[in-house]
Amino acid sequence: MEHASETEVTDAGKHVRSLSHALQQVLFGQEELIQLVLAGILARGHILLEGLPGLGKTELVKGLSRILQMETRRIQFTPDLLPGDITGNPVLQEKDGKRQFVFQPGPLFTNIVLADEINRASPKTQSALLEAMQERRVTVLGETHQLPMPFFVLATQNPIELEGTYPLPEAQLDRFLFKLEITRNDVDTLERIVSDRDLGSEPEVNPIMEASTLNDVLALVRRIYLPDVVANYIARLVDATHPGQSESAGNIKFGASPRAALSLAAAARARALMNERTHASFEDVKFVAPSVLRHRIILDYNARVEGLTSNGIISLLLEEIPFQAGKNPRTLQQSVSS
Amino acid sequence: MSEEHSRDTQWRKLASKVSSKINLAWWLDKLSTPLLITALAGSCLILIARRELSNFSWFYASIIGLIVFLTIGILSWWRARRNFESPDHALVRIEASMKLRNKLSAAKHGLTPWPDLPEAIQDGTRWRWSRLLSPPLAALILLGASILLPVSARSDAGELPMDEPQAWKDLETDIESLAEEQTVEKDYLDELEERIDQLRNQNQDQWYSHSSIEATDALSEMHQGELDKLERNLRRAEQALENLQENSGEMSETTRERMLDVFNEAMQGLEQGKMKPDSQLLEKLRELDPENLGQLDPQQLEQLRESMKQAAENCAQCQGGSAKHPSQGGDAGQDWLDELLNEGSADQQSQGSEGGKGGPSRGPGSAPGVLGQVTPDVNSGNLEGLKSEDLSKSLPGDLLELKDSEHDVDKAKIGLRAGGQVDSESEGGSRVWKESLLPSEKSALKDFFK
Repeated sequence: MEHASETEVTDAGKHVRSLSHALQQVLFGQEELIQLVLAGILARGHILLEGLPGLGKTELVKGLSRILQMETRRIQFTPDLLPGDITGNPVLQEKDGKRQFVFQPGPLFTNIVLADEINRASPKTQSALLEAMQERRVTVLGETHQLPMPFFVLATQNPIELEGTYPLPEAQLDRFLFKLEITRNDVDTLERIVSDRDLGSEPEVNPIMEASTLNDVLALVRRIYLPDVVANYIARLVDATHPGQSESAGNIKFGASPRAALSLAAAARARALMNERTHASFEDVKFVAPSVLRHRIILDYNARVEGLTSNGIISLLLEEIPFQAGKNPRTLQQSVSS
Repeated sequence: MSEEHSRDTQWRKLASKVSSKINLAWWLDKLSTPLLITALAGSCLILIARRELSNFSWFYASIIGLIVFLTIGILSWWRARRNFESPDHALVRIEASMKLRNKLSAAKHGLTPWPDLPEAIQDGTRWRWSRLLSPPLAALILLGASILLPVSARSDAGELPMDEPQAWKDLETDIESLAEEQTVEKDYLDELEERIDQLRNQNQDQWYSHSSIEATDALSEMHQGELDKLERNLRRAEQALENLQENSGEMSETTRERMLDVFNEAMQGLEQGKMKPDSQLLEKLRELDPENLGQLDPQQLEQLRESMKQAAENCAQCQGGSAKHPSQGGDAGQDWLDELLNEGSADQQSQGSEGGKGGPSRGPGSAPGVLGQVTPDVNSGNLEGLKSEDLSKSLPGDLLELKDSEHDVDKAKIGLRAGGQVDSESEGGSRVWKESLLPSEKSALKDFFK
């Protein structure tokens, strides 16, 4: 496959930068979150947004859908939601004097699905999303239906209201490229929100990118060059999340999967394009690693007792694993932190 | 294009330099521990060599040290080799430390142009001097100490000849003196010398073996016996000749006959003994006719007697191969051994149940003094008498006293009696008050306890 040229990358980078600027008009003071959401979109990944109510999760997704000029559907997940309610159901219809089942597509058949409060649905309904997220198709009554391209699931969940919720199974968590934690805003940002917004009104955003342009950019991301040394760094990083493979993994019960490595590579490529580079770098991997790995490692009981979090352990891992493969002899010491 | 090629070359040169530095660091890292251990072992060996070898050569020591150092260096290099980095790896190290966002990797792949070489290049590492210098310095200090510490070479006991048994020396002295004085026939001396040589020619470790000491002892006893015999026969012959010469006219026929018999017996002993007198003296004695001494020149006879007397004296003065016992007129050279053997038991010379004196001819029992200095007997321990003489020094288990007596048992017969009835009176308490004390005594006691 031919690698992306500098011209292509520069053009695409401009588009993405305009997307970023537009989203920053929707969500104030969350530049890094916006960068990660765009990286996730460019890497064709699904994103799980976790944060307290009112921080702008839904607003971000709605803004994204308007900017991208894509069809968006919102599914409010509740405990009584059934799988057929999201995938679609066969409906008995009479046509030409014959009765037959005709598939009625559900809300999944769209470009961007906003799965609001996804952890409130039953596991049965949550698992209905598995095939759609991984293979981008839905099978109902033995009949498979392709989902439109591109297809993204942007789910949100509330970390504190745990009553009546069903934690997402590990298999489904693994299908999310990123798990992004939305933090509260600082005083300056809050002041700006109060000044520029009214309660109940949505910000005005103009469409910036068409679906075809987005598909071109998505194709270009795959052509971003991933140097062997960066691939090696990703492999070592993912391997180090497993117990016994690194000092930092001492409190990890289960490490990240190969899907995590693929996700890291895709996200690093996307970020390289956002920075108008033809190749991914160590820094790109390091930037996206917490979002890719935090929901893919499972900590043991000791970690909970000691108050360790996934984020803390990932930070230790990133410090422990050097960019270059070889380790330093004891007669030399690191003069520059990577 | 040429500028691009130039930048490529510059970056690759830089990568080679960095990889050389990393590889050198690995080699020094692997070298440090073996160097320290070898220096420690080497300094110990140098100290031992300086102590043990009188002709310690610094030249050879330096060559050996150099070879050992080279060997360690090669082995360390071989061990460090698996960690060595190629210039390509060094390139990654440079782009990581200089935050070049993998531009060099992309340029190497031909995707992007090589970036300009910055003025300040950093590979992300610097020497850890404490770790780097400590082992060589410690090795130098250890080796320097082993070289500079004042150690004198020990005189090698192994090179000194082993002191041969004293008995051999005594026998050698006898042989020399007897040969010098021409007292004894040379064949005997040669044979004795040959036997001593046989003993001496065996392995030095065997000189003081039991069999060798026994053989030496037997040889010395044999030599001493022969010396005594020769001396005795010479003296008897000389005495007989003197009597016959001086009192030939006055002595009776019986006495003369007895003197002649004595002379003949002595001559027979001289001729038949293993140790014969000098051949010239023996020849003269053979030619001598004791019955016609009057016909001989008195001066010649006197000279012959003097020769015999001198020979007997020579025999008496011989060491006798250390076989002489003090009681047999032993020499002073034997005294130290006797004193040692007689330690604490100078008056116990006779064989018996007492301790022996050591050596192959020792008697039964243990040698005296082996359990420490024997103290004078103070009659303590294992006393058999009924009365201990010194009870302060009695030992556990000693019998101190025997007493012939009976237990104090009440043998009064007691028949059947009603319950609660007491026949025997008590010995103290109220009985004394009621029945034993007089009224005056009772009043006195009452007064006392008021």
